[in-house]
Parts: sequence; C-alpha cells; structure tokens
Amino acid sequence: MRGISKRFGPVVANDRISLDLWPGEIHAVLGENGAGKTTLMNVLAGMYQPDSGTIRIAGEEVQITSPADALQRGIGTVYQHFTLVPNLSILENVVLGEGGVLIDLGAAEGKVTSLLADFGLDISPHTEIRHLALGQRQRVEIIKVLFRGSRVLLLDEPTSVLTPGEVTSLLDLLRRLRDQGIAVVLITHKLGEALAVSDRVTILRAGRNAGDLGPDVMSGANRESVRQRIVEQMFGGSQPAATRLLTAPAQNRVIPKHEESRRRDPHAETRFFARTLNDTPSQKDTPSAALLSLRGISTLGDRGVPALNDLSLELLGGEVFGIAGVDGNGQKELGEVIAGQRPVTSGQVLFEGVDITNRGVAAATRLGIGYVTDDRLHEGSVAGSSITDNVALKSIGRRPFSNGFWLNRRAMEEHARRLIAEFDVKAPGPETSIGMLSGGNIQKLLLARELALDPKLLVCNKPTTGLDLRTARFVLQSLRGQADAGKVVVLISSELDELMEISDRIGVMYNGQLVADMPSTEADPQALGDLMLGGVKRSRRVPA
Amino acid sequence: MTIGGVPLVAFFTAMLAAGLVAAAPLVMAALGEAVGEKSGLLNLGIEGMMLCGAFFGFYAAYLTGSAVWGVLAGIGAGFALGLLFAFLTVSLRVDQVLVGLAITIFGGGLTAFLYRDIFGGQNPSLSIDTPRLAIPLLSRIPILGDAVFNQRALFYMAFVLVPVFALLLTRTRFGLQLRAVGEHPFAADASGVDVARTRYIAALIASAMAGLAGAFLSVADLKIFQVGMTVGMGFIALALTMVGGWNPYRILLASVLFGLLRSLGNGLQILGINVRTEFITMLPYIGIMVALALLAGRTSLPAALGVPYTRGRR
Amino acid sequence: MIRTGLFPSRFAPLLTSLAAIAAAMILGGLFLAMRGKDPIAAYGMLVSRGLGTSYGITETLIRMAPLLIVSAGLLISLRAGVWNIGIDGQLMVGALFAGVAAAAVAGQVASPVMWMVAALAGMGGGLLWALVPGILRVRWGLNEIITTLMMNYVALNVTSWLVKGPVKDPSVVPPQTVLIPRELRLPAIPGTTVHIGLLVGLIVVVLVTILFRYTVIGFMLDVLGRNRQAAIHAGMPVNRLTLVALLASGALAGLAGANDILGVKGLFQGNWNPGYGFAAFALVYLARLNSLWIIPFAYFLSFLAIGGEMMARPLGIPTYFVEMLEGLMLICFAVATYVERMRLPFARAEEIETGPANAGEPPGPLLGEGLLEPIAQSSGGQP
Repeated sequence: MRGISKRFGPVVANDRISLDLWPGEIHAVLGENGAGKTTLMNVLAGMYQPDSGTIRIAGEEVQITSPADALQRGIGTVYQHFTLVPNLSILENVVLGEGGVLIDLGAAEGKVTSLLADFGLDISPHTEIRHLALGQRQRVEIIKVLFRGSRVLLLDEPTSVLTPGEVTSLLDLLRRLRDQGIAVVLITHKLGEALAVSDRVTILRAGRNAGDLGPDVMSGANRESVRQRIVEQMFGGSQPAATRLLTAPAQNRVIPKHEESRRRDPHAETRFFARTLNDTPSQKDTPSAALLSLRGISTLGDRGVPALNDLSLELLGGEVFGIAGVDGNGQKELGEVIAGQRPVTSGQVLFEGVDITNRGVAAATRLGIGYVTDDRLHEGSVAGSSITDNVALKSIGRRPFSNGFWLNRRAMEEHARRLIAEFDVKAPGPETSIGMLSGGNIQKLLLARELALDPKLLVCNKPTTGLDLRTARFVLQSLRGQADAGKVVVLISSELDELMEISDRIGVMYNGQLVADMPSTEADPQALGDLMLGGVKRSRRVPA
Repeated sequence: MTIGGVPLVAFFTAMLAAGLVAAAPLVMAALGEAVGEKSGLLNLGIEGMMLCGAFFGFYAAYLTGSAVWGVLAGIGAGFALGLLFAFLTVSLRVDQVLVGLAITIFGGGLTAFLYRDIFGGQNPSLSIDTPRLAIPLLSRIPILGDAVFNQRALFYMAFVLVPVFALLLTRTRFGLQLRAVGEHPFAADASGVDVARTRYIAALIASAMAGLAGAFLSVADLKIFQVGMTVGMGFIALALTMVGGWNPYRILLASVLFGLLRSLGNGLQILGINVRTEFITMLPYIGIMVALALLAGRTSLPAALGVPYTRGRR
Repeated sequence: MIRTGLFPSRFAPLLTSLAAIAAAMILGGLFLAMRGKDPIAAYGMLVSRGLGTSYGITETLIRMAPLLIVSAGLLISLRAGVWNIGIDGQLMVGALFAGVAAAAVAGQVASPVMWMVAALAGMGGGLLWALVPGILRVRWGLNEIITTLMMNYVALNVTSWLVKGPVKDPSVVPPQTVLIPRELRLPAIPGTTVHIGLLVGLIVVVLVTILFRYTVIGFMLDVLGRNRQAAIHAGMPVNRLTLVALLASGALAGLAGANDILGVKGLFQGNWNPGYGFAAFALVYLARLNSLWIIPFAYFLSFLAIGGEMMARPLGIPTYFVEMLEGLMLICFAVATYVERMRLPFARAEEIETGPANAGEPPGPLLGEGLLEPIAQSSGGQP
C-alpha cells in the first residue's frame, strides 16, 4: 500500500500511509486511538475506498471494491467486533458468501472439521455461534477466512476480548500460520504481544507513518531496547505544555468567565440553580475524606464482555483524577459506572459515604454527580432539538426549569443564553438546533450543562475531542477550576498531554483494571505510554 | 349418530375442511412474510398486497375465465407492490412501518376504487371451475381424508409450499444469506453478501406470496371480490409469522389452529349452540396475543428487523 | 428575538408535505384519466362542492372534529416513539362506553353533566383498550404494532357482542345502545349546524400543543421519541413514559368516539367502524408531527373525504378514490423525506434514529422559531 489517504468529512484518518506486507511474516501495526490503524485495515479489507493512494498485490495495481472483492483476492479480515452471525452454525458462517444455489454443507463439512481440529477446537461444526466463548469465536473467524483461501490475514485488536491463556494460544496459532506462508497483519496497541510474536512492526501516529522496524531489528536486538524505541516513536516528542497549570502563578491563568463570577459572588450560582430537593447535607468534610469510593467493581461492557474486573478506587475532594488508556480497556465503562449510567455486576459504589450502587442516573444526578459523555450525538444530545432543550435535558424536572409540571421556558432560555455567553459557544441563539453546531461547540455545551448543575463530582469522557486548541484549553481550565473549588473531576482521556497538565493523580486503565495510580508529578509520557500498552505494573500508591 | 340434527362425521369433516381452507391463505402470506422478516424487513403493507392480489386475481380470472391467469395476476400485483416497498425501504431507506402502512392504505383504496368503477353496483361471482382434486386413497380416510385431501388444487399449494420454504431457508445459499442479513447485516456484508440484493429478493417473495394468498381467497375460495375482503388477514398472517417463530412448520401449525378456531365459530352456529359468535371470533386474536406474550422471552427476533442498513455503520 | 433564516426555510418541511400532496394529486389525476374520467372536472368539482356549498363546508367541519381528536392522540404516541395502530379499536370501545354512560344518565342530570360523563367514559374506554398493549410492551417488551393491531379486531367483536346483548336497547330491534334524543346531544355552534364537537377538537389540539411546549411530561415524551438513548442517558423514566404515551393516545381516541356519539349519532351501533385510523396516520405525518399543523391538514383531509363523497354520483368516481389518494400521499411523502434527507451532509443523515418520531423527520435543523415549527426543529421558542 502506498500513499493511502482517507478522510471522513473534516477528519483525516489516513494521511499518505504506506505499508508493505511480505508472505510468511507477522507484521504488527501499532498505534494509539485515532492513529488510523482500523481505517487502514478497512481500506485493505474493501470496506472503504481510499481517497488516494495505490494498492498493489504481487506487483499488480488493484482496486479493492468490496469485502467480497477483498476475499476473492485472498485478503481475509478478522474484525474487532466479530462478524459472525450468532444464530447460524459454524459451518454456515464459514460458507456464507460463497457461490452456488444449494449449499453443499457436506463438502465443506470435512474441511471445516479438520480446520477445527487444527485449531484445537473440539466442537461440532454444527454448533451455533452464540453458544461459543469469545476465544472460540475468534478462532472460527480465522477459520472462516482461511477456508476462503486467504493468503493475507488481517486481525484488528484480536486479543482485546481474550483471557491470557487464550492470548497465548492465539499467538501460537499465528506463528503456525506464518510458517505456512501466510502474511499475518496484527493491528494492536498491546506492545507486549506485538513484541512477542512479530517479525516486523509499523507504527502509526495521528494518521501517518511514524516509524517501522524490520525483521533484522526485531529478531536481533535486545527486547527491552526494541520496546523503548517503539514507545518513543509512539509517544515521544509530546512534551507537556509549557505552562503547566499546576505550577503556574495565579495571575497568568486565564480564568473562565463563569469562574470569575463565581469567585466574585460564590452564592450567585447556588441561588440561581437552587435545587428543591433535600440533598444529603454534604458534610463539608476535610479534603482528605473520600468523596467517591469504588470497591471491587466488576461490570460488563456493551457486548456482554467483561469490562471492569474487581476495580477499586478512592477519590478525594479537590482533585483531578486523570485516567489514561487506549480505548477499550474499560475506562469508558468506569466513567459510566461512577455516573450511574451502567450497572455493576458486583462491587459497591459509595458517594459521600452513601451506597449508590446501581441506583441509576437520575439518583446520581440528584446527588451531585455529573457526566460528560464522549458520544455527544447519540447519547449526550438530541440532534434535532434546540440548545435550550438540550441543556435542560438532565434537570428538566427541577427548578428553575420547571416546577415539576409546567416548564418555565423563559428560565430555560435565559439559562441557555448564559451558558452560550459564558462558554463562548458559537451559535446564533439558544433556539438553534444543536445539530447545527460544530462538534467543539456541542462539546462545550455538554460540559456547560453539567457544570451548571454544580456537581460535586464530574466525570468527563474525552471532553476535548474535536476541539480546537483554544477551546480545549478553556475546557481544561474549567475542569481545573472545578477541582480548585473543592470538587472532584475524573478526566478520561487518551491525550497524555492534557492529563498530565491538569491532573493531580493519574491512573492507567488496561484490560479492565487500574494498573497504575500515581501523583502526576511522577508521571511522564513514556512511562504512561508503556503502561497503556500493557507494560510493567507499578505499585499502586494509595493516597494518604 | 347426529348432533344438533347434523351427522357427526359430516360435521367434523366440514369443520376441519373449513378450518384448513381458512388457514391456507394465512399460511401462504405468513410464509412470505417470514422470509421478508428474516431479512430484516417488517412488511406492514401485507394487507394491501393481499387485497391487490385478491382484486387483480379476481379481475383477471373474470376476464379470461381461467383460474390460472387469475392466480398469476394476483402474484403479479403483489410483486409490483413489493417492488415499491423494497425500493422505498432498502434503496431509499425510508422507515418501514411508514411505507408499509402507506401501501396498505393505498392498496385498499385502489382495489375498492377499481372494483366499484369496473363493476358498478354489481357483485359478480366467478363461474370458473376449480375442481376438487381428490388424492387417491388418502381421501378415503374417514373425516380426515375428506377434509384434507379432497380440496381444490390451489389449496394443496399452500401446504406444499411449507416444506419448500423450509428448504429455502435452511438449505439454499440464499436462505443462509437471508438469515445472516436479518440478524447481523454488517457481518453479512463483511462476508461478501450483497445485503441490498438479498433484501430486495426477500421483499419480492413476501409480497408475491401475499398476492398469491389474496388471489386464493377471491379466485379459489370465495369466487367473489368484496371491498376490504381480507379483513385484516394480512396483519393476522404477520402475527402468525411471529407466533410461529419464523419457522415454516410452526407457522403452519399456528395458522391451522387459527383457522380451526375460526371455523369453530361457524360450526357452533350450525349446531345451534348458543355461544356468542363474537366470543369465538375474538378468540383467535386473543390467542395470538397470549401466544406472543408466552413466547416473549424465547423467540429470537431477527436482530436487524426494521432497521435500514448502511455500509460503514455497524 | 433573533430572527434567523429566510421565510422559506422555516416552512421548508411544510413544503415537503405540500409537494407530496401535489404529487399524489397529479398521480391520482393520471389514474382517473386512465380510467376514462376527467380529472380536471373531478378536482374542480371537489373544490366547488367541498368549499362552495354550505353542505360541503359544514359536513367537512363536522367530519373534522373526531379526526382532530384522534390525530392529536396519535401525535402524542408517535412523537414519543410509540406505534399505536390500534386507534380504531380504542375509538370504538370509547364510543360504546360513552353511548352507554350517556344513555344511563340522560334526562336525569343536566345536559352538560351528561356530556362530561360520556366524555370521561369514552376516554376511560379508550384508555382501557390501550392498557393491554401498553403493559405487554412495558413489562414484556412485546412490540406494540402487533398487539395494538390485534386489539382492533378484538374491539370489533367485543363491542359487537356487547351491543347485541348486555347494553342493547331493548326497545328496538337493531343492535344499538339507547338513543340519546337530539335535544340532549351536543348543541350546534351558534349560527351554524356544526356541533360543538369541533370546538372540542380544536381545544384538544391546543392542549396537546401546550403539553409538548410547556410541560415537563411533554418535553420528556418528545426527547424519548427523538432519541431514546439520550433519554435513558439523561435519566428519564422511559418505561413509564412509553406507557403514558400509549394510554394518552388511547384515551383521546376514545374521546373522539364519544364525540361522534354525542354530536352526530346519538347511539352506538353494532357494526359502526368509521376507520379514522388510517386518515389520522396520513394526517399526522403530513403535519410533520406538529400539533398545530394538524388543524389545516385535518380540514384538508376531511374536505377531500366529503368532496369525494359528493362528486361520486355525478362523475361516477367511487368515493374510494379519496382513500387511494391518502395512500398515494403517504407514499409520495415517504419519497419526499428521502429527497429531504439527501440534501444533508453525510453526518447528519446517519444520526437520525429509526422510529415513528423520526420516520418523517426532516433532516436536521432549520433555523427559525415560533409556534409553527414541525418536530424536527426546536420545540421551544417564543417570539
């Protein structure tokens, strides 16, 4: 592949990327979120057409027009989110997409059975997919692709749903396939696995090539030094911003307007947003009492896969707790659990000493937990509704927006205006449909919405995605301001810069567990990056 | 031996026969709908398609004097509406419920209009001959034989189609692709299946069968056409599809039970038993809801039912 | 207030509906021509009879009343994302209950009291009929499309049975409830022969408008219909809301039935099924799920229906032509929504969920404000 570029609207996912695949090699493609790995893979798999660039197979330039086309050319893809039809059997899934009017399951059966045996699966080919465990399903995916005679095998984050034992089996399997001459492409962010098994490594960063290591390097050099090089190429050069908010002198900080007014009259906002409910009188504790306590939390993700595994965490007032990690390691689910959006299968959630486990969103909001989602359009807002309506979504039953039955549209509108002004949102007016705004402005509004409720604990999932620099800084400063005023902010982000800039503590999520928890003064990008990729577990520091 | 003045044997035979005849169009329509739904298309236009099948079948048979032409015309009418449905829901990705209702309303109006316009105030009936086809030997079985195996030709078609459809769904490549598309269109697409084409074909099958069912009603069974003569049978077939869990054999069972319950009402009237007919008429509908409620946890709806598919979005 | 956007853009969704209607009329006209009728004469007579004669006008207004009420109810349900296809059944049961209740107290209490009783009975009946599908949906997740459909047929039978038996007027032969004498029925609007049911209809529409613009429940129902995920995410009680939507639309359907009993017929007959359901569907979608726009469209559809009846004999065009037109309008509307959607950037079109509230949704936001906004635009806004 040469010079492959692909953009989706304003987002450039791939920017002139090149990739060479050799038969009989395991080639790992490493990169963080947003590095462009999945898009590149989808181009090769025929799901997307590149905007520019060429693809050559055995020297001949080709156009891969569809998944069917890719398969025919011998490119088989195992997607991250499985493409097996759950209600069909293994055999049926394998022959799906093939020609002929009547399917001759008989002929295929023999081959599939032997493949199953090869892969160490002692199950009948007539078993339905939904009865299989994830590790087994993955093997079936690979079988499916091999059955069609693929010579190139693309695997997108294959180990994200596997147990350690299954991971080892998979890697063995990949080695065997490689020895049979198949070109295996392993797309992953897990450095350890990539190192264990690859012959060649390509690193992508922000949509571009960022480096590569050939077989000579991989086989020869010392493992640790290879690892260092890779981490450096993936994360190196990202220095924390010059003005670190934590240590900057007060007068240099740009204080967001709403913060200003708050400082001038600390009661103004409280009056404006007076709540009718009897809150648990928040014992204004000494800062060292834990505001939020998670004990042994386990939960399932959207696809029924375990997302959090016996996780425990304590958060104190007045701090920003940053959570780093590559997507899919449980950080989103962690945020959702804290905010009451996701039920837990075991464990306890305590807020201000009160057990709020599984009590739901409405309760959490009432108690003072805010949540800014990263899914701004599907979850966070209603695209066709106005700014006014969207901003009132979570607190519509409370004053001043309503008296419980009647809406006070004037108050709603005023509120929206205030937020638009204070957060500098670019919109013609509060009646504008939120879908018309740019992503950044929508994000600002969602943040504003939560902040206006004066939450004691605010969870933000990737709040600066898609924001320009100025707006991003604004957001970060608002969050920092919240913490300085005694609130707790949980910041989930894949941008190490911002995490390090405003957090007091940084944790790293990997595989559903908090593998590190350190004061930000001790953190540096490369160490964090290493942990994010599954590196050595540091000892957890429990806050004094 | 008689009951209420009617010979017992004859009574049961008549009941059974009537029940099966009532079930036949339901089976046909439900089989087609099952194929459609398996591919992820919810077809509320089934009622309109059935009506059009009934009318155009009737009209064609009236003009040509041939039942065969009638049936073909009915199928054709359903097919045409099916094309419209597929175009709107698959290519234009418009909401399926909206399109289905629109087609049903349109079909109702169209058939009623044409019927009144062509025939004025008259209510002609078809004088074509659809002879009974007695299956040798089997039709001699007492009660059962006469009821089941001494029916018109078209009737048998309905039941012969059951295993045909079962075969279609389980054994053919198309059936496999169909099931994949309705459950997990992304997976199907990634495996190289043409999702749009599969859905188009499924829609056409569903609508053609609905048309056939309608034609059966007017050409083979009642030999007349009336405005709105399907009286919700299309929707009932839809419900039966779900009750039958999209399985041809279970659909057959559900339809037969339904048909029998229906004819039970008439039967009781003949006997002079004084049970409110409405009560009996009501039973099947309630039965469907009960059945659905009972099966609620255990049926697996095609996961992608009702949702348009666009590539690139899971 | 900031006035944004040009005049056309605020009404653009309306244009889609009008375009659909126009297209349907043209297609209908072509069809008539193919059948050897004169479409120009037909449409001409439609207008002249429907709008030109006092009979035409009054009948249209009378016909409008139940249509307004039923559509308002359907609007509540569709805007909340719930498919209530059982309005016909709910209407029948409501009508029966109203007829029985009215007959029971007629003559014993002042007329207005009787009307209130009948109205409440009607609403209760309709609500009851929507209760079963509602519970099945909320408790067991059974899709309401099938259950509400089935309840229609059960309603037909139950009302038929009841009116032949327990609640039958024993003094007459045909199965019907006791007749409410004309003097006790709803009076006419002074100066016309249209009964006040029309006013009731208008009031209901206004109330529904208020519901969605000014109440918390209306706000939540609206959000539920537009984006269920967001509603859950915001902590709204989605199950309760779904049930409320179904029950409310059932109650209003029942009220419409009561309206017809009290205003026009005076009794409930065994085989009466006016079938407003389909027309209501067409109506609500054409009105882009905006409650105030229901009024002109209800007028239009009633006018079509009455005009259609009146032009039947002279021109030999069966009245069913109107029903055909309704179906055509909806089909053209479906196509029109596609065209609308295509004029949008990729991202927006993808975001629109499927569901009744979004089935006719214009793509994305159009600037503007005011009471006359269809659902896709802001549901707030005060001039």
